[in-house]
Amino acid sequence: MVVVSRRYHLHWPGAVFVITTLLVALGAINSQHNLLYWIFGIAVGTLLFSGVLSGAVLMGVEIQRLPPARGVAGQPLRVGYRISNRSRLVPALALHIEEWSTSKGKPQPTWSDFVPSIRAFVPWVPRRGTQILHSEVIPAHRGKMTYVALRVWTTFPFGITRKSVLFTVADPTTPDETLIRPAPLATDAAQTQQLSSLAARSEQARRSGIETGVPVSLREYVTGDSPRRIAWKRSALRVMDGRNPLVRQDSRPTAGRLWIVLRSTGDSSADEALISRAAGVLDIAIARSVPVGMVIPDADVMVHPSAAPRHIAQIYDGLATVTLPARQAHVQVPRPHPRDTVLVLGDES
Amino acid sequence: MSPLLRLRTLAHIVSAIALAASGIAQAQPALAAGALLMVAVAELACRGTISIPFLEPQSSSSLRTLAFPRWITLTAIALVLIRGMWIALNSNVQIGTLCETVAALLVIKLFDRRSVRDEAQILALAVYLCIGTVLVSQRVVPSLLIITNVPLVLAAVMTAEVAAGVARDSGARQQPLPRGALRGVTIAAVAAIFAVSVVIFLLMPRGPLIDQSRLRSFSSWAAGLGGSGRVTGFSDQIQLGRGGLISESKAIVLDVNVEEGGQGPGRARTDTLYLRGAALSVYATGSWREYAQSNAATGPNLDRPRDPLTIAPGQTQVISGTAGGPGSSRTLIQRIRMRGADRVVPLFAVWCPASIEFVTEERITIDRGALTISRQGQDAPLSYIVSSTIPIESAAVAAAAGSAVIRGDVSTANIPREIAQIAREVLSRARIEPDPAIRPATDDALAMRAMESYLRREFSYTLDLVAAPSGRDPVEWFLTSERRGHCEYFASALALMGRSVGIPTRVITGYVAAEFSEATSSYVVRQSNAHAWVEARTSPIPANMLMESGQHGEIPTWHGWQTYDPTPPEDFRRVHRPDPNLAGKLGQWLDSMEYFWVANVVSYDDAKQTAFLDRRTTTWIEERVRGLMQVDPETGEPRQSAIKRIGTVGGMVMGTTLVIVGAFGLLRWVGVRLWGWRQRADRSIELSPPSARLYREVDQWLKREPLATASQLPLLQRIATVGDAGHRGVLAEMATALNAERFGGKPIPPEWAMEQVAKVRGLTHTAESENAARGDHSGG
Repeated sequence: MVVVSRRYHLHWPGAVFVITTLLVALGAINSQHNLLYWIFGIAVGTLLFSGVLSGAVLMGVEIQRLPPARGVAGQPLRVGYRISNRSRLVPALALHIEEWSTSKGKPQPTWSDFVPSIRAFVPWVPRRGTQILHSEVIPAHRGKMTYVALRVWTTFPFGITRKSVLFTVADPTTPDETLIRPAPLATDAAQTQQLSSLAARSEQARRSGIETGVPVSLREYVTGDSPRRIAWKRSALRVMDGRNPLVRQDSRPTAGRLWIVLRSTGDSSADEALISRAAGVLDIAIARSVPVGMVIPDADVMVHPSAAPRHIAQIYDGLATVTLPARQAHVQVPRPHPRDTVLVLGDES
Repeated sequence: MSPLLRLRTLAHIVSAIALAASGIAQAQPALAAGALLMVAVAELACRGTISIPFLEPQSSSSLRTLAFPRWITLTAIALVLIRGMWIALNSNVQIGTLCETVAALLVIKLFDRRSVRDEAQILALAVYLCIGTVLVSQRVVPSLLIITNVPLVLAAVMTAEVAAGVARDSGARQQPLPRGALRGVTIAAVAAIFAVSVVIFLLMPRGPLIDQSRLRSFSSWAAGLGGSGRVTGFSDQIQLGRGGLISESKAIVLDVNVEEGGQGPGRARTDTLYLRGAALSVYATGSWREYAQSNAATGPNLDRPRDPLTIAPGQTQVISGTAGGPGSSRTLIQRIRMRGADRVVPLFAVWCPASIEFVTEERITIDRGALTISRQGQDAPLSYIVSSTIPIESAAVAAAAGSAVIRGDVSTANIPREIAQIAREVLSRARIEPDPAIRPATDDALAMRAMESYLRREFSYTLDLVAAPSGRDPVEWFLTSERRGHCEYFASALALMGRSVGIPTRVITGYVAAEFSEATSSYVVRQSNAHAWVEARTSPIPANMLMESGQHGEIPTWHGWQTYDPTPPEDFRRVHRPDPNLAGKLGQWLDSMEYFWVANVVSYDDAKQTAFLDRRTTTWIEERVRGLMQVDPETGEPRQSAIKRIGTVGGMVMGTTLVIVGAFGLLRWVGVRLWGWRQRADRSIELSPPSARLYREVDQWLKREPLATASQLPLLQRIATVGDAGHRGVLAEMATALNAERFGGKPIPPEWAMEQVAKVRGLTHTAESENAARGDHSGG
C-alpha cells in the first residue's frame, strides 16, 4: 500500500503535558529554582524525543492488507495485516491499525456499513522485521465489503503526540474487498424433513449409478446454463444467425435435486430474510450432498443444480450480492424434472 | 512478563520512590514509611498474596487488579480534598500541603485500579508529586531519588503505551512482546532526555527575566512547612517561657569556607566559629528583639544609617574599621553559601565583620552599631565573602592601658531583682566588686567570666521544656526554679546578669560552625547549629579610638565587645559536634555529596553560567575565530597566511569530527560491553567466505524472481514463493545448509558451496533464457 499522508495530532494528554511544561518553565524563571530548570529540560527533552521517535517509527512502516475473500454475516471475520518495519535502527512499537472511513477523492467506503470499526494493534515489530496480525470483526449483513484506506498511528513513546500515516491501495480501481455471504437462517422442520428425504433419494440414486446422465436431447440456451453444456457444433449456425446456442439436455436427473426459487416480496427487509432462509436451506442441502440449483427470476439468475463445491460457492456468492427488485421475471424458468424438489421462497404466486 | 504486569510493577516502584522522596523532603519519615507500606500492600494484594476486605477483583482486565468499591474510593478522595481545601483556606497555600494531598490521592489510587488508564493516572500523580517535592526541598537525597525515578517513569510510560493497546485489543490474537523489546528504546530515551535537560539546565538564561513583583514566588509557598512544635534554627527574635519539645533539624543551611593568614581554605585557628546573625538588645518579659533606636543598654549612641546600599558584583563594602595596631587582631576571610535565603535575611559573619563582597548585585542594610548586615533580594541561594577582624583580647587590653576607659551607662530596667541579686552573689563569691561605680572597668571581663562559669556549672541543658508560670519572668524562673533550659535561656540569663552589674551586654543569635568536612575543606552548618550567646563590652576602649573617623570614610570603628557563651560546654559539643559513630560518618559522607550538589546544581546561577561558557567554549572558539579574521590595517590582507588559516579551519573540522566519531565509538563500546551489540551485529558475517558467496548468489537469484520478496525475510520463506518447483527444491537445499552453518554450527564444505554457486548461476541462466525465449516468441 502507498502512503497518502502523514500527520501529527496533539491530543489531550499532550496538551496537559505542554501546559505543565509551561508552568514549570514559568516557575523556574520566577523562582530561579535550578531544579525546576532541570525538570523543564527533562520535559522539553521528552517532547523532542517523543516527536522524533514516533516520526522515525512510522517512517519505516509498510503495511499490506490481507482481507479474506469471503465471510459470513453474523460470524467472525478475520481481516489480516502484514506490517513490516524497514528501519534499521528503531523497532516499531505500539502501532494501532485502523481501517479509515474517508479518503480524499475516494468514494465512501462500504466497510463501515458492515462493522463499526476494524482495528488491530501490534505491540512490536522488530527492526527490518515483519509481523502478521488480525482484526476480528462481525459483519452485520451480506454484501461486498470494500476497503479504501488504512491508518496506522501510534502515541509511542510517551503519549504526548499522536503520529499517523494514511495508506491506500496502489491501484484505486482494484480495491480490496470481502464478499460477505448471508447469514444462514434455520429452516423449519417440514423443510428439513423434505430435504432429508430428498437427500436419501439422491444418495440412493448415486449408489445405484443411475445418476450418470446421458444426453438425450438439445434445447435452447437459457441464462444460467453452464457454458460447458453448450453443443457447439450444433449451435454454430444458430450463433451466426444471432440466435441462442443449444445446450445438451440429459436424461437426468434421476436422483433427487433441489431447486430454490427466490421471489421478491417487495419489502426489502423481508427479501433479506428470504435470502437468509435460502442460505439456511443451502447449508442443509450441502450437508446432505443434495445437488442444489437456484432461480431468482427477478434478478435474471438461474443456476442449475449441482453438488460441486465450486458450484455451491457460486450460489453462495450470488446470494451475497443479489438484490431482489420487485419486477416481473425475465428469466426463462426451466421445467423441473418430476423427481426434483422445488422450494419457492417469497411470493409463491 | 506481559506489558500489563510490567506496567503494574513499574507503577508501584515509581509511586514508592515518589512517596519516599516527598516524605524525606518534608521531614516526615513516618508518613513516608506509611505510604511505602501501602504500596507494598497494594503489590501483595495485586499478586493475590493477601486479601483485603472490600477489595474486589476486577475481571474487566486481563491482569489481576483490585479495586475498592466506588463509594469507598470516592469518599476517601473527597475527604482528602476537603482537608487540603481546609488547610488552604485557613493558611497560605503551600506546596507542602499540595504534596500531602497528592500523596494521599496517590495512595488511594493504588487501590482503585480497573484499567490501564488508572495505572497512567498513578504515574501522573507520581510525577506531580516529584515536581512538588523539588519545590519543597532541594536536598540531595530527595533529588537523587527523583533523578532515579526519571528513567523508571519513562519506562513505565512507554510500557503503558503498549499495555493500553494490548488491553484495548485484548480479544485479538497478538504477537507477544519479547523480553527486552523496550530496553533499547528506554535507554536511548533516557540518554537523549538527560542530554537535552543538561543542555537546557546549563544554557537557559538565568536572572530575573520577568517582573518578580507581579508573580508570587513558588518558593514562598514552600515556606512554613514546619508542623506543630518548633525546630531548631536561626531567629532574629527570642521568645522565652513557652514549653514544648524543640526538635533538632539536621538540614544544612550554610557552607562556610574560611581562609586565614593566606593559607588557603582550611580549618580556622579557633575550634568553633560563632557566626553572628542578629544582635538583640531590648529585653522585656522573656522577649528579646533588636533595638529600634539606640539606648544606653546597647552602648554609646552612635549614628546608625540603615538605608539600603546597592553593592555591585565584586565591589568590596567596608563595614567597620580595623581593631587597632599591628598584632592586635587577625583577619579571617569567610566564603559563605546560604543554601536557601529568604527575601530579607541576615548575613552571617564572625565578629567583627570588616568588609563584604558579593558575586551578584545585592541590596544590603548595615547596622553600624551592632555591626550586623541584612540583605533584601530574591528567594534563592546566596553566596558572599566576608572578611572579619578578630580582636585579640590581650592585645586590646594592653592597648587600653593608661587610656581613658568608657563603660557607659547601662539601664537595668525590666531586669527582675532576683536576677540582680544572683549576679551580685556570684561576683561576691568570685571576689569581684559587684558595684560598677567601684569596680574598675578592667574587671568587667573577669566579672562576665565568673557569671559565665556559674551558669555553665550550676545549670543543665535541655530541649524539652515546660512552660514558665504565668506572671513570672522566664529568665528569673530559669535562674531560680527550673535551672534547666536551652541556649536562649543561658544567653538571656548572662546578658541580664551582666546588665544588672553595669556591664553592657546583648544577646546574639546565629550559628556556630564546628563541623569541618575534610572532603570539601569547609564547615557544614546545620539548622541544629543555631545558637544564642552573649556579647559584652568588657574590653576597655581607648578613648582616642572610640569615634575614629576618616580612616575609612565616615565609618566609625567600634570595638570592645567580647563573646561569652554560658551554655554548658559538654552539651554544646554534643549538640554541635558531628556524631562520631558510623551513622555520623555516613551523615558526613552524605553531607559532602550534598555540598557538591548544592554548589554545582542548586546554586548554579547566571554568574556561574557565564563563567562556564566563557571558560569552556567561547574563549577557545573566539580566540581561533579572531585569529582567522584578523586583518592587517595597512595592507588589508589577513594576518595569517592562507595555509595557516586552512590549517586552523581544517583542524577545527577534524577535531569536531573526531569528537563526534569518538562519542559514537564510546557509545558502541559501552553497548558492546553492556548489551552485546557486537554479537548481534556479527551474526550476519558468521558464514565462511564460500558460504557467504553462496548466500549472495541465492539472494541475487531470488531478487530477480518476478514476485521478489523482501531481502530481510528468511531465505526459506523467500524460496517458498518461487514458482518453479524444481528451482524451489534446489534452492531450499542450499538454504537449509546455509541455516545449518549459521545457526547450527555445521560448516559447509567450500567445494560444495562453490558447486552450488555454479548451480545457482545455471538456474539464473535458465530463467533468463526462458524469459528471452518468451520474449522472442511474443515478438514473433
